[in-house]
Amino acid sequence: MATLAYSAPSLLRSRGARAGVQWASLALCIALWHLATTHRWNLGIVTFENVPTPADTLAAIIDLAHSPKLVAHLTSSVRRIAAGYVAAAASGVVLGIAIGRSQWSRLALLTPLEVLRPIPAVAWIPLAILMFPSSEMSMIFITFTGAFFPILLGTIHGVEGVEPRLVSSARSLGAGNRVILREVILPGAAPAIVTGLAIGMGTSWFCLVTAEMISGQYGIGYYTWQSYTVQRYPDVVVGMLLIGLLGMGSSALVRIAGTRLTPWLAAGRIR
Amino acid sequence: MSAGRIQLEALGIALGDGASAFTAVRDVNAVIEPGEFVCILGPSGCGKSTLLAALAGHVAPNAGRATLDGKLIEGPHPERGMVFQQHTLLPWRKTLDNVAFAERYPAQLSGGMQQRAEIARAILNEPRVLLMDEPFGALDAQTRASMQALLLDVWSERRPTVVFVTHDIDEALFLADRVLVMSHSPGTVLEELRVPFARPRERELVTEAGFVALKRRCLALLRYPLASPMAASNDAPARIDISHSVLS
Repeated sequence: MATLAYSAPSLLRSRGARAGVQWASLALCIALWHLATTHRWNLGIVTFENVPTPADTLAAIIDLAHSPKLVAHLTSSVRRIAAGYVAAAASGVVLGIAIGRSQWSRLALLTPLEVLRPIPAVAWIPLAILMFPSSEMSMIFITFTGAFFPILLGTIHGVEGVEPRLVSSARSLGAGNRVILREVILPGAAPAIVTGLAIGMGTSWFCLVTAEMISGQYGIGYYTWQSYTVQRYPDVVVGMLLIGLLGMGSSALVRIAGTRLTPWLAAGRIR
Repeated sequence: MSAGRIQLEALGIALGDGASAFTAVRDVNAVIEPGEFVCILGPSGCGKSTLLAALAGHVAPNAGRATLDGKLIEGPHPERGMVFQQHTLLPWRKTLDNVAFAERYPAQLSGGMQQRAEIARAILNEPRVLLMDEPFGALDAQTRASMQALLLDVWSERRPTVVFVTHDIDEALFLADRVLVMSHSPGTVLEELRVPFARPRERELVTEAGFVALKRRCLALLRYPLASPMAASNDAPARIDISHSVLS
């Protein structure tokens, strides 16, 4: 790790300089967006003639911020994501450990799961509505499908990657299956599980608009889709930005929690 | 501590499945007495680690049997402690204060300290048998020498039976009461060498005439891995690969 830091250009050594590059890149994106929409660029294959400008979007943000509905939109979405995500995390980790540890589980479970995996969230809408009497549950189910597979695959990958010698050695020290699972397999798989959980958090937000197409009145995804159908395009962009920021923020929270849970990884890097 | 007598009868071990299956160990017969320090010496890939894994119960033999104090070895057990070349300390668990250094994650320890903790952990179970698979193979020469001395100290206090696998002739002769020299794969015991030097042993031992004579014998046996023990001459072979041997 240290060698990488030394080979970085001297300009990027200071923390301020690195943050500066990141902010400059964001500013450049907004500037390009501003130019493209105010000058109504038409590049043939893509046109910005009907895309809202940053100024229109900012006005829409201020409107939404003053609207009493904002809190209702946010809490509805966060609640759905949380429920779907917790269910996905629990089932993904449990099934992932089973599949990673047992040949029987792998043969019995992996094939149907591999068939289900490529099905996009939007294709689940009809069945979700048919399967769950409450529309709330169908929305939670859709966010669940988004988060489940990255968590499952991360866990399988992590469990399979646990050093077999650690397991052999633990057995020679007298550890039984339960102790090996708790003391060796789970911590050994933890880094890959954390990665799966962080990606799953992102993909769960990814499915939010799809899920809330079913919704009757609240949710960021619902707000985004509804704004499109009534042609309030700046509001569409506001909804998109909200989803992006909330998804990024919650993934980052998962990563921070993951780093706290795996302190030995940082310890290894210092030496 | 109770006995610790190991008996191997016509032991054979096959590894791999189907087309890739091969015999790693063939027809090994040996008795290791309680409290004895035995080194298994052999070239890389001769099956010595596989043999040790069978004693640990991590690998099942497909011919013959291995017993400890008359009881068939059927799986891992804390009465048979295992020490690996690459430490198997749990990376997420800190070492205890009283294992001789402050609480640290294994990744924060030097190689020698990692192996000390590995050995300490195995010994905490008070095993009848200590199985060691090239435990000092990854250490530098100085650290290795001090770890060998440390191991002999620990062994002389508690006297577990030790089966120590190595490809380093000096290490085997410095540590052992008896050396079992193994042939190339499928591995079997070519010859048993008694190592008569008095204990406690000092580092200077490796330069004494008796030590050098035994070392020549080992070199000859390892130099002609496919020849019968009778054919192996007492003379040093013309081309000697001593890259594995550490003279310190």
